[in-house]
Amino acid sequence: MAKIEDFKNNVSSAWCPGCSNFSILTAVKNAFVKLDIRPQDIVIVSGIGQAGKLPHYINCNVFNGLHGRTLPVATAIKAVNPKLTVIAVAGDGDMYGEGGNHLLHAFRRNPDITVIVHNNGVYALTKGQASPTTELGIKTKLQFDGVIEEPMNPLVLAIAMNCSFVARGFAGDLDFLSELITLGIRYKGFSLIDIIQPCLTFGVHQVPWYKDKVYRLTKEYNPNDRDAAFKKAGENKEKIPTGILYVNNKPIFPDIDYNLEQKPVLDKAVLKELLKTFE
Amino acid sequence: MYKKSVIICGQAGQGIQTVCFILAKAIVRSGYYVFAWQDFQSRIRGGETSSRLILSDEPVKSLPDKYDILVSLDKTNTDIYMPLIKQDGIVLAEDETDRNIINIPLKKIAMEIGENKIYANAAAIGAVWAVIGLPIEKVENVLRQEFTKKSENIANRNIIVAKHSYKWIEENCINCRQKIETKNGSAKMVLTGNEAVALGAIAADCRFMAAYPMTPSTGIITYLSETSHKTGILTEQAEDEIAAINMAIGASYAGVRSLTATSGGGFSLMVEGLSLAAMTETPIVIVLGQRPGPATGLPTRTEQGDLNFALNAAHGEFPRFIFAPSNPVEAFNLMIKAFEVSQKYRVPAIVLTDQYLADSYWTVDNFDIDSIKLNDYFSKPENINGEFKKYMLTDNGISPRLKPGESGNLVIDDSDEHDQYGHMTENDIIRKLMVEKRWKKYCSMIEEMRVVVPNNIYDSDIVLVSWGSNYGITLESTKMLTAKGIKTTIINFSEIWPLKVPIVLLNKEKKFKIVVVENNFNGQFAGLLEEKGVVVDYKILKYNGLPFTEDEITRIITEKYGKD
Repeated sequence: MAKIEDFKNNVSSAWCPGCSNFSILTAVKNAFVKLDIRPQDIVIVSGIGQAGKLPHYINCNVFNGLHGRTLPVATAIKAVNPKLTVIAVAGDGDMYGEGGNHLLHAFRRNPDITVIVHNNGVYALTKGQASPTTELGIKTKLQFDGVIEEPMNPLVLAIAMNCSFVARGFAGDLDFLSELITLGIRYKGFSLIDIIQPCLTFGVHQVPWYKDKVYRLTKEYNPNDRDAAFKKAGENKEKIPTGILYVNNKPIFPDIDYNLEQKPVLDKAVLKELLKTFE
Repeated sequence: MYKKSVIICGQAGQGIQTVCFILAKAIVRSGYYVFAWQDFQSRIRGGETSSRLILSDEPVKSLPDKYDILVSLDKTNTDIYMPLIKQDGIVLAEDETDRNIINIPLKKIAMEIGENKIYANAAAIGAVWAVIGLPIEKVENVLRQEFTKKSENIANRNIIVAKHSYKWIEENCINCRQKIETKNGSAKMVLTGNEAVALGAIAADCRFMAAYPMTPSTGIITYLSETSHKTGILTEQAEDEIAAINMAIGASYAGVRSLTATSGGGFSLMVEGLSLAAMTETPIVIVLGQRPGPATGLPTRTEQGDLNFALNAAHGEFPRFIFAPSNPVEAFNLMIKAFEVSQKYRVPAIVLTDQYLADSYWTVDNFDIDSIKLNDYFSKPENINGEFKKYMLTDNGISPRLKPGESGNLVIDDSDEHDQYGHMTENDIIRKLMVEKRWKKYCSMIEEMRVVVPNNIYDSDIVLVSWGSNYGITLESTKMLTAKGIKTTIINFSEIWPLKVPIVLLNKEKKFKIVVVENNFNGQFAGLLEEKGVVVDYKILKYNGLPFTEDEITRIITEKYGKD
């Protein structure tokens, strides 16, 4: 059985003390324990920003690539070696801004990977500019008259694109978040878990503010109902639902296991046969 | 040497390339060599399209200024291409004017015999074949083989139309009909540069390719995709070139050889990923099929304008390989080499092609399959002592490499500067060591590069220096110039970077003139040679989107260096 200690390493953290990223880190480890996966069978792909540092703090395989580019890397790793559990970790700027096109097409392509988005509505590592999910009117050093662009709702977008698994978590609700990540990893297909992760330093709202608004979806909610899912995903003012908003079964990429990493080198006879077709 | 040159022209959508392909295949099956270049516009219907095809009893890899035969499916195109035909050349076209044209009713034959004007291209095939003077059966066999894939009926109609126009020439144009004999010999292949590149990738054990379609390199992923059921290679059309290169990097991290291909505009998007491959020391091969830029440029034409870009692309300093095959055999071999050295040194390898190499049909006697030897550059998990250091500092800069999931050793990669384990660091001492580690490889990398210097170079008046696909053309010009009394030899660079300059080019006592031939405005390769101390006497540069011709280079050299 996997233990939480299996996933600990001695890399020192560069996150702010008390950051809700630590809860996400614990939730991810909890999910690994729950799913009983070995560190060697996990690859976490991350981008740039504070979220991108997460895999360094977990004892597992890591590919910390470029800002916005987690999904193509993670998709290919999973395609080459489907035995690996592949997770992409990114912030809202990384996944919804820089990597937006990859996200759109990951919904379509549907690789069996799980995406964890630390959504704090701010570019924290670059010291507080607006992100694609910052609310209208919020003033920052750069948007000094307030944000005039409408915030993006990634969950509505995901449902519109028939994403396999769409969930919202809250970094202030560790148990439920651990459960959502566990279910997201287990779900066959592309799983998007958007996590409300208030930023201590630059955030507009802090954990207590969210605690009053956030609630867990109950068993009565049917995530197979697409219309209901749109409605729930749009709910983000007075009350904010967390849980699995939408699930959908569809073919994954690649369509078959190509056994790419294991199979022997191609027989030269096949190459010779191909050459014959040019005669 | 027997040689016949043909232009097939018409509007896009009239099947000009099909005529060219069928003729090329039939020529090779008749025992001759063929070379055919595609001159087309970036459109789907209409406009001006031509294929330039050379038949010879010796290997051909270049184009002349003037052609023997023109077959045209469109009046406007006839007018455009007529000036490229020799005085005693033959023009086959529907033409009522009193010009010196064989007025063959191609469309009428198509309508009457094939019952659809679309078969006018089959009529063109039959007519050209009759003028070339080879037996119709060879064409018939190729048509049957190629069109039966569509339907028996389509194959039959193509054949009867081609036969009818063949007969029309026999009956109506006795003078224009030549007769040559079919030759026996071992089977040869007809293929494009792109197909050779793709076959090289297969031979190199490439298992994953992602790309976004872009002329002139789309043919590579197309071929790998259509043969994937036989080879087991996974291909994926990415949403953009950024995704394509990052997918290739992900696949390589996971443990397989991976490839992407694009042209200049797409490569611009890949540049960030190129830097990622360098920093994470992830081997990848990138094919950069050049076309004229900047920006969209001339999408379907040829140029060698991206050499300096390939060499300097991406932020930060890191070593890389650049190859530029001159023909399909080199494309095949250099793809294997690119994969091997990329794996060995864990650096990106860029293979530069261009539209001239990528889209042309070339004749290849054979690829040397049996002597291909691939090496496994992964380390054995059981040989790793202690915690695995993906970026272990070593004497030659090459660290052990493992696949994630293969063993208890964890594989950690970071685009940030990292320590030996792969975790990010901002330590100045480690940073310095890591920069030096990446560059340590360079000394061995340069030893991998090969340049062929001809034995008789000191006897020559002129040394033509070319790189990549111009080799076929400079080679032909060399023969023509030497025949004219200007002793010319050639050094062609197909293995470009790290640049190995032959000592002979640096010799201050040398008597010969060094003339560099390139398809770009600035003489980019000449510039690289000059940086290394080579005194370049003259540059022949072309940047109108068209390839050089053998006559063009011969004429320029003769005018400049010819003895009166």
